[in-house]
Amino acid sequence: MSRAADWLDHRTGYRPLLRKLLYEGIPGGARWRYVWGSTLVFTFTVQLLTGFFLWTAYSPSVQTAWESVYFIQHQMQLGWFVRGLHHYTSHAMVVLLAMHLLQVVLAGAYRPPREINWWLGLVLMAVVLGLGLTGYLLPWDERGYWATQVTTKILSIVPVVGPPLERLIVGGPVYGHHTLTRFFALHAGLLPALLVLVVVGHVALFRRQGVTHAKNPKGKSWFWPDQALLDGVASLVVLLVLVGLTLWAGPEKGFVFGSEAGAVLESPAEASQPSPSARPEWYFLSLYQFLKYFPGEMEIYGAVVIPSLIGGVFFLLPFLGRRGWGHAFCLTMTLAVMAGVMLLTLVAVREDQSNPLYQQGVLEAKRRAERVVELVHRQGIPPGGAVQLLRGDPQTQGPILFRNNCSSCHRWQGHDGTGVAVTEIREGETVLMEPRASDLAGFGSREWMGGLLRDPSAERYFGHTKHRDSLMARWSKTNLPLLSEEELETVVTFVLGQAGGPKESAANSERRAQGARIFAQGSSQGSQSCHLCHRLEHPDVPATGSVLAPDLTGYATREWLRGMIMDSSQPGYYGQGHSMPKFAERLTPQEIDLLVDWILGVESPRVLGSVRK
Amino acid sequence: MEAMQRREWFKKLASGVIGLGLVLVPLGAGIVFLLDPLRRGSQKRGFKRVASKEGLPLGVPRSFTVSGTRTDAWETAAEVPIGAIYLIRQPEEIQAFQVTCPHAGCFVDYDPANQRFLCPCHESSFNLDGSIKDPRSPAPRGLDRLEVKVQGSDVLVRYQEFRKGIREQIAGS
Repeated sequence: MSRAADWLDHRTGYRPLLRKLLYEGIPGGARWRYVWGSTLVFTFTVQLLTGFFLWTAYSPSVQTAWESVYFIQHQMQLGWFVRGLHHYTSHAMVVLLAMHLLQVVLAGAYRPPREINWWLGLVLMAVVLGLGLTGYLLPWDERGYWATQVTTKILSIVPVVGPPLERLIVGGPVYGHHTLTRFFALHAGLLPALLVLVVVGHVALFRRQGVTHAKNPKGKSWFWPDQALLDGVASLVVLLVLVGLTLWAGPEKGFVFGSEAGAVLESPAEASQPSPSARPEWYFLSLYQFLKYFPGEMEIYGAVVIPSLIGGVFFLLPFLGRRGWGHAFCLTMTLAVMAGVMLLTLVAVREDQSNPLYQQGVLEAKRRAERVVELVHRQGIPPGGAVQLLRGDPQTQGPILFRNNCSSCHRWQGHDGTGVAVTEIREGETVLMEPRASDLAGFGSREWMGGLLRDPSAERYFGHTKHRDSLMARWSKTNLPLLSEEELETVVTFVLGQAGGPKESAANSERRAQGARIFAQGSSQGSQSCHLCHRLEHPDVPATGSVLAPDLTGYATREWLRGMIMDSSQPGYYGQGHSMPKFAERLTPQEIDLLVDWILGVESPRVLGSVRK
Repeated sequence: MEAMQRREWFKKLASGVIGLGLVLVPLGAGIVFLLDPLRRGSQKRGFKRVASKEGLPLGVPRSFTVSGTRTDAWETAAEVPIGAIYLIRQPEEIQAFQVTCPHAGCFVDYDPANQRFLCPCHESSFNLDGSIKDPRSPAPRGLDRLEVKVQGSDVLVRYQEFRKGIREQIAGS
């Protein structure tokens, strides 16, 4: 062992170098308060390691960024851990930077002859924040996408250089492939390289100048092993906290191993999808909150001018703190800025907590994130990317299509399909809008249809329409007493049984045959048959049917509902003059399918190239 | 003095152990992460229609693209080209060969002038029945035969890839 070391030392002279690195004298002895710099070096090392491993699996493009991160988080072994550790370590770096900065200011270590190292420290801080900012976009999920939009938009308000600079960073007029490749090049290339270089300079200068200690320190110890042990223990505490954070999956689940732990991955970015819960990472929340106080044209002051001025003052600290009350001023200002940042952050968090729109947005974003993972597990990710799964998902698109196309007349459990009441503004007052058609929640279910037969004029059905007093309503009034509950349910079973879908597959054929008889001939107590007005193609129902009312062949099947939505006035439905718009003219066939499947609760999402025409 | 030295020694040991632990957590997790491909098997495929029997000339090999579902990391693509095969109609049967050379995996050419398959990379040559033609060929075995089924006029092939560079024909890549 020692011969090998001799051999190496003879050729490289590593021993004196190592001695120089390890045996740094520390006047006054090792101190806990000197650990911050070392914990930062440690966390940065963790970032280099985990970052490299993530790099081996990440693919920066619009169709693959979210997808590869999904694969890391949910499929690759320990991917969730490596990603989670990388994520939380970036948070730790910001916290440790603040502690380090505070320690340096407290010790007055920014003063001459340490000006240059102070400046290098400020550069390092900017680089670390830049790494956080660029890394936030890379998963290309909702929050990263929207929060980063805000940042680059802020850049564009800087006079003259802003707009071209924004375009250079974004890589084009809008966010796309080159935004990702550029952010990735910054995040994994330029910024870490810069960080390494500046850290080397920072540490070298520090070693030259030594720790800033009391005037006449008692005793002396060495970096190795005295301070190294303290640094190691501090780093260990940091690591344990980070591992804990990575394993912590929230108060309900506690500590878990697996893809539910680690960093959050929201659903893939979609420019048309509102995301009211998108926020920057917590350490940028103060800047985000600060912006709220600068209306309109004044924005540039909150976004650029004031933060730059504060940065500038920090840059000048070595000159300001040189004599007299200077140090006290510098210390006060640092503490004031830190307190301001914390206060703004706190206010931002509190405002969100009491903002129902934000809270709703958080729930929605969480639901979309879970939904897309569910879809991916079920059918894999198509080459067009996971966003296509959501575009072709009735559960995701149905409510939106319903709200935008159906909810000015129809309701869904009384709301607009997305859970929001349908309102309009009349004379300055927000008032509930009267529905003009049926409430479609549950359409195609036994419960819904049974209710229709029992009381067609109810608000849920024709109560708001001109069919309120139609033949159907009259039939119900006079015939309901002549039908037993059992018989009524049997007819429902028969009519809905045609769908053969998941809802009715269990109904037995005997019951259906019985239902067909009642449909065609009326009940045993002599109720009027349905067949008098409704046609229905079935061996037990006479072929000659009346066309007074909709043809119930295939009622509540996908085909039937599709036809109804496309054109409700066509033969077999409600006939000429029916007031429902012909949606074949307004929606694409795919959109109609999505709506149909959502209304009927069919779980068969389709993958579409594009939903819009 | 001795107690101080022992303390010093203990500090060095503790620092070393802690330092090792600090690096091992991210490094170890990362290495496990990096080894992920080792636990993923290759896709098993069934028979797939490739060509019509009538379209195949007698004795002359022709290459065909095989399509199927391709799972590539996160992505699942339906009906995309996944590889190619040579089909040869002989009087009694139809033979199918994997187009990649069993030596190093290059796409083997058909050389009509010499009625042989020739690998453009290292000049392995194969007879039309797939066996090695020139004994100096670096290929360790003949071209890999694939299972063929004829249903009516449809020629179905079970597409597979095999390990390269060894004598035995073992499925896998």
